[in-house]
Amino acid sequence: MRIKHAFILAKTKFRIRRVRLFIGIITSGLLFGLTAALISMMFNLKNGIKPYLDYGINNKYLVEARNMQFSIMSNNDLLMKRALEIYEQNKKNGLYSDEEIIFEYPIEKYTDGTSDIKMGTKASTAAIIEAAMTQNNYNLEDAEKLSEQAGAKDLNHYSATLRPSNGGALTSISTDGEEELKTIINSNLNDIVLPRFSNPVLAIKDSLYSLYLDAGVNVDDSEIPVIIDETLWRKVGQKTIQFCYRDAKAVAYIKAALKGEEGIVLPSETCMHPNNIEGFAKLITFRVVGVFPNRVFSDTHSNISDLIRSIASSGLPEGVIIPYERITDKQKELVKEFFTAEKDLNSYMYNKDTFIFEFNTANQAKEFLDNYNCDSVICQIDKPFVLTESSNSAILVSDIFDKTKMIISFVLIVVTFLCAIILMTTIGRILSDSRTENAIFTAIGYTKGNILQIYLVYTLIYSFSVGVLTGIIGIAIPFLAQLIAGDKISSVMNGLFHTPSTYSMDIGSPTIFVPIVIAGIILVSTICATLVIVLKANHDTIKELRRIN
Amino acid sequence: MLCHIAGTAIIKIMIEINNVSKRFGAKTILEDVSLIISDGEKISITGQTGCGKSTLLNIISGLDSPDSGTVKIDNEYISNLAQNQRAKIRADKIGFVFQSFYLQRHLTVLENVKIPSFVNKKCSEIEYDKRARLLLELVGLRDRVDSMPYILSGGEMQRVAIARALVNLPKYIFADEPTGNLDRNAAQAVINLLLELQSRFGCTLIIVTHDPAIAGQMSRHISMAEGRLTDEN
Repeated sequence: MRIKHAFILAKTKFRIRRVRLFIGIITSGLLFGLTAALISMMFNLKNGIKPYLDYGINNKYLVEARNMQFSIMSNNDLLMKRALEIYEQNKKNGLYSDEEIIFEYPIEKYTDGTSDIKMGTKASTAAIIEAAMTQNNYNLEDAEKLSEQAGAKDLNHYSATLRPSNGGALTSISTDGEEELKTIINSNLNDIVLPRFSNPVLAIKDSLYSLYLDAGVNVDDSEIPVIIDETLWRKVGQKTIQFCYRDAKAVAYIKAALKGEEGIVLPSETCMHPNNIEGFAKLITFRVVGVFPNRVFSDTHSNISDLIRSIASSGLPEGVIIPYERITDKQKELVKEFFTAEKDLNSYMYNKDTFIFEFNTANQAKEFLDNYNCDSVICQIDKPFVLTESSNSAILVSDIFDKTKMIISFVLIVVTFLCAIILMTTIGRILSDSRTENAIFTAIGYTKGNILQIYLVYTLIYSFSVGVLTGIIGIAIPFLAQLIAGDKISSVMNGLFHTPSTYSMDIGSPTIFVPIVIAGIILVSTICATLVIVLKANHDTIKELRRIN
Repeated sequence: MLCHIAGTAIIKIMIEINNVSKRFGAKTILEDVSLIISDGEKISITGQTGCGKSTLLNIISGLDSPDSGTVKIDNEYISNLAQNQRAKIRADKIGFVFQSFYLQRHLTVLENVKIPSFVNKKCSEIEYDKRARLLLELVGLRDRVDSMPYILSGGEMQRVAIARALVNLPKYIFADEPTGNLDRNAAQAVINLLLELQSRFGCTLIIVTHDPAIAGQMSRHISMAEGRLTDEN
């Protein structure tokens, strides 16, 4: 039978179950159209985002690698006392070099009654580890036993955690600053509200600091380089932030954070405190050299006071991003050695600090993270580094796309399934309604193949109608979205990636995915319809002829 | 081809039914039926409802298969053929007329007549179109070519159905109660038309009917009861 003839007969089927048919076409068209629109917009977004990702100082996929400085934060007094003993003994025996600063925190009492000893320095950390190791391969169970032996009544109050020094130990503070710091800390400790597991002052790491200076980022002597989170970036909307500080403690914190080395001199310009509080006030200017996505750091600082606190803590050293190409060759060698050393990783652990690694693609960066990241509280020797995504939102964006791809695939499957059900039930109904007609066709010489052909042409017309609707919606929605929100999207993107206003995002262009979805609709419809026809059209012609006679 | 000598005329045997039996479950519909139908015959088959008339027609046309016995059309055992081959024989050689016409409501009269030709490639589409128009003229519906079937009377619809049955120029016309839904005048007009067209095209006409008056107008009459041929004249 010619297609033309099948078309003539198929046309008559559109007079049957018209409401169901109409609903089927509209529903399927809408669902597929919205899905196609979504895919198109995502595709446009994915392509359009590339220039943004390539822009600026954060034009590469960066991973920040932080040396794991062990420290123990424990409220197991027995263990900590033992650690102190070892530490004192080692100190007496001259095991720690003179240059290494001994800086001990007092035992703090928390409001919940638990106590904590925090000890800075690599040496004290080593002592704690040694204490842990010498006590029969110390572990949590052992700690509980020891605590029990020591007369602890409630075992739940005793736990010990070996963890990377995220906000952990102090390292190599110069002797010049030591006394001042000690004085400040010791004299003011009672007044400071300490969040648990955080240090009031941490020094910027030497190696990182020198890397930063070598990098030649254009920062005035009077400015302090910082990277800040997106929320704050959007609030301040400029590349320098000024902060008016007024007390000596703040000065000390900042000095300690910046190590008071040459090249960075705290400004002497006075300023007026916003609330006109009398006293010593100085203006300090921070130069924003990078922006990190909020997701990377859970405790984001959303105002300037928080930022100051962050700068005066361990946040700053990790926050400074140095373009890899600006790192000197010698340092690059160091970095390579740091990550490729096979022999004694422990020796590196105590000697190197933070490095930034650069990758060309998000996948390379992710692979690196997967392979080397210490993703648990206790790091393994083969994964000793705390690695975090750095740079701009590149990896985040890539993650979002991956997840969106999954969601869209899922949506597409669900929509296809729904529409297939609608089509199959519609065709099933039409077949039921056409039993007599099919029997007559059989009697006048139509083969099963001829009858199948009629329904297939019917399906093609049906799916073509769905396809047309899908095409219209799939093209119209992105177009309208671009028309209505295109400027806003571009503006958000420019804010997010700090790109000039000449950068724009176009999500409205038609993409190849619309015809692909339409082709998919026709293919799936044909398969579904054939399935229904083969299963259901196996009618008993004789029975039907007997019934009608 | 088998030949049967009757008097001086040589009559071709076109359909040969030998000892055909058919059961539906426990019920015997046809029992040991044998029948020879020759070229150009006008046959009526009568009998009570359920006596097996339509089943016999279905078996002859290859729509149904006998449980035992054979059916030969134009020297070909139709009961041995595959479904598609039987369908082809029906398309080529058999025209069906049904009691309830079964016209396509949403196709024009002309398109309805051409439906059987859609699966027949013997002539060109133009040829079939011409033939369909001619047939509609012959059945007196020249003016109704582009009409929709639902505006026609019962008699007119059956005439369209007859034109449809003839569009492939079949050798056999099987009419199953063709006048069952018509009043007496319309019924007679349809029978007259069938006889006239049978005579014009020289095909074999087999009519299943309850109506003795119609049966009486055929050249050969076969009665059936409880699946058997009871009387023939």
